[in-house]
Amino acid sequence: MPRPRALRVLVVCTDREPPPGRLGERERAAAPPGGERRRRWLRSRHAQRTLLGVLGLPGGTTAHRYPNRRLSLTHTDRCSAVAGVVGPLPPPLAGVGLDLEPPRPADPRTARFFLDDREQGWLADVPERRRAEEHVRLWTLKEALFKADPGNAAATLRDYAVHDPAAPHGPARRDRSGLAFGYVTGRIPAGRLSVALSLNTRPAPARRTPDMPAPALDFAQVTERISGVLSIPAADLTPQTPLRSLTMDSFVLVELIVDLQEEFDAVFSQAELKEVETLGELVDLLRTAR
Amino acid sequence: MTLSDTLSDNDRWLLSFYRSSEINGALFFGRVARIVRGPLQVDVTHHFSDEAAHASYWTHCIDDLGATPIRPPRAYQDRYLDAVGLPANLMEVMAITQVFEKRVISQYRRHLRHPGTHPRVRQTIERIMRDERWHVQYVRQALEEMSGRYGEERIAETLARYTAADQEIYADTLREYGERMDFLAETPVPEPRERSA
Repeated sequence: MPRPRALRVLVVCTDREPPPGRLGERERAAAPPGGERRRRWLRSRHAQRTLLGVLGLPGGTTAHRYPNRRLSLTHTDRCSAVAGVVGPLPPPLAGVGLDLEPPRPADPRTARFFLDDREQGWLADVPERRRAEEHVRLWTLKEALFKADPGNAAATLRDYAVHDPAAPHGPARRDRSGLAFGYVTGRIPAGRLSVALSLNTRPAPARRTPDMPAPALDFAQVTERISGVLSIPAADLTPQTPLRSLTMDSFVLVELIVDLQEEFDAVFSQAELKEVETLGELVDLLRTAR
Repeated sequence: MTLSDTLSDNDRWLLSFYRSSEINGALFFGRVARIVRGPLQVDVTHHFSDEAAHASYWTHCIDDLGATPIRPPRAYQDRYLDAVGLPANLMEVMAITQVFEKRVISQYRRHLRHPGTHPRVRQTIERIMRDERWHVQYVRQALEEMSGRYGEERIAETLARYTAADQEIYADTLREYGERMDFLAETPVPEPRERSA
């Protein structure tokens, strides 16, 4: 069995605003008005721009919405960081999460809000001189796990359990989420940083394999689809309808042909398609090419 | 000297040709964006919006140079369909896109290398090129991910067929509109190559 491809994540962190001209007009226009909020926003866009350039993705940050399967953002008062998954996104990847916290004191009473009983027990055993730092580290880790979970709407930070709270990297889970998590935590000059990835453990609906029988396909199913794509009444479509009479526009015909293959899980070849002149023949090809 | 003094008939024709190609690209990718399923939807929809934005950049560029776009007789993409037939499936759509985008980069690069290129035109091409490089990259990745469904050999064969067709189409275009693009022929560049990721 092939070994799964290792996922690489790059993180860019900056405490600087972008130099003049670095951001596009659309991004400048989208920035909130003056003050700290605007500075933070611009700093964040600067980090994103830099990372997108390294990843070879379009530089316009307004094109990326969050939550995002590839990217995750975080801020502190003094800097912004963005994490991005390198290369093609494998289908099981559900999300990436990043969190950064500057060095700060930690109130031990807050641990119960984000650590489960086992994790709290571990933290209580950490020598007191290191406890605040570990407290902050676990906070960033739980935040990163939460952000990596696209289904986190009903979750709390306590729901994410790390296998070994002492480990700087390792697996984590959220029960009944259908996800497996992996994380890494570390220290950078700006503070404690954690990155988490989530992977779907439930297989995606698979394409039919050649040894699986194709479900029956009748003419009405196909004409219903064609009717939707071309806005032609299905009643006007018969097996004798010439394909070329449906549209004069080649682009529309490409849209129709590809849409039918994607919808009914078929693959045509050029040679097969050239033989097709009527809708009846097209439906026959859909049946045999599945 | 007004800006319009800087734009010859041939310049105007060529910039309009670029604009028209970008419009056609947007129309085509608008349709592709409606039919793709899964994660590719995000990239293809972005591609669609890029092509529309590029058409807008060229329109602004031509306008800033004191001219109005003309409608060239045929878009470059139409020639593709004539030469290679309709793409028969999604893989062929992405393969033809890959070849076409590489051609676009090559053409824009050729234009950038021409020493007489107007700064406003240069600015527009440079802005567009940032997106074009990403187009090639994501389409290449999409094709790699399609190998399970279509087979590596079939994808390679399709790319080779489209690349051969592209070279003929480009040569035909140069023959047909040679005088419009003569000045670019003086600044040859190598055939398009993919940027390493």
